[in-house]
Amino acid sequence: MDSKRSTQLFREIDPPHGLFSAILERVAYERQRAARFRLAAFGTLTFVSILMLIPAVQYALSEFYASGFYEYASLFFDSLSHGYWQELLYSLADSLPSLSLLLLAIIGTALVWSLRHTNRDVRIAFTRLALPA
Amino acid sequence: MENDEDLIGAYLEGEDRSFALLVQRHLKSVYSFVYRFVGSEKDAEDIVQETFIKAWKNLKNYSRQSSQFKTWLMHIARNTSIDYLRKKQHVPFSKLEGEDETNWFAENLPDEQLLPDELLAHKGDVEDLEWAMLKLSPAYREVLLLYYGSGLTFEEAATISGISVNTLKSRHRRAVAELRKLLMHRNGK
Repeated sequence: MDSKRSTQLFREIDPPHGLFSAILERVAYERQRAARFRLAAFGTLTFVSILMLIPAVQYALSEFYASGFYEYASLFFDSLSHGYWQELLYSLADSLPSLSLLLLAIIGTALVWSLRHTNRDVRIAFTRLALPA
Repeated sequence: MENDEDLIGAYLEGEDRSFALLVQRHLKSVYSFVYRFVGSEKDAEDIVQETFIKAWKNLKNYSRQSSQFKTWLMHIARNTSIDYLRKKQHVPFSKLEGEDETNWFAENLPDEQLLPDELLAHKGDVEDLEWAMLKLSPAYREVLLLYYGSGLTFEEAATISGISVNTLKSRHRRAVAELRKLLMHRNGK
């Protein structure tokens, strides 16, 4: 098959002047639009996470004090030198305010995750797509 | 020179310039295909822009295992062009898929291997070919553009068109026959 000749006949056409930059402009526009939309969502999530983090920390601290965890913890460290730490380990684990810690972990994770995305989207939302040299 | 996959990887890792390089590298072939497929410069510009936007949006889903980047991109260009033709001309899908599978003329051709350029060498010039291409059904036009215009293999063209290689080869044969018929008619023979 004489595909070389065919290719010459169906030769590639030069695209109109400005099409390349028009494509990049549109990509940049779409990219920024998407980044701004995400920024609004993740920014809100960051803000809500920060607001919720304060009562979550307060709740976790109060739960720690109420649970007797600190007392068990100090006894546990004493017990390390006296050799009966295994008995105290279960009491220490039992006294751990798991619900409040779980809540704190969820909020903390949401905050870190949304901050990471916010940071990335801030950069994209306000920078243009680079043109090749 | 970095290959397409390297550029995609670099873009996904935050190297913005890489996508622009990909566009620069493939713009001419995508534009040529789309322009010849729809036959209008203005429409081709819109479709090419849409093609690259779709490619950009789906870049994360591109897998080098399933196809080469050019094949993947041409597949998007092909689908975008067909969608455009459907919307503009209200052409039913069956019409876009080509004519029936038992084309007497195509089946009875004495020389099935005759290529479009060979036809033109005897019967006309590039303008004749462009005229005849636009007279072909989109399915026939597509196979000729992918195979001759974009320089793809039958396998790659079949992947883009979403049909088997044998069907594509058969469609190619009928497309060449139809093209020959049109050119002969135009030249009064």
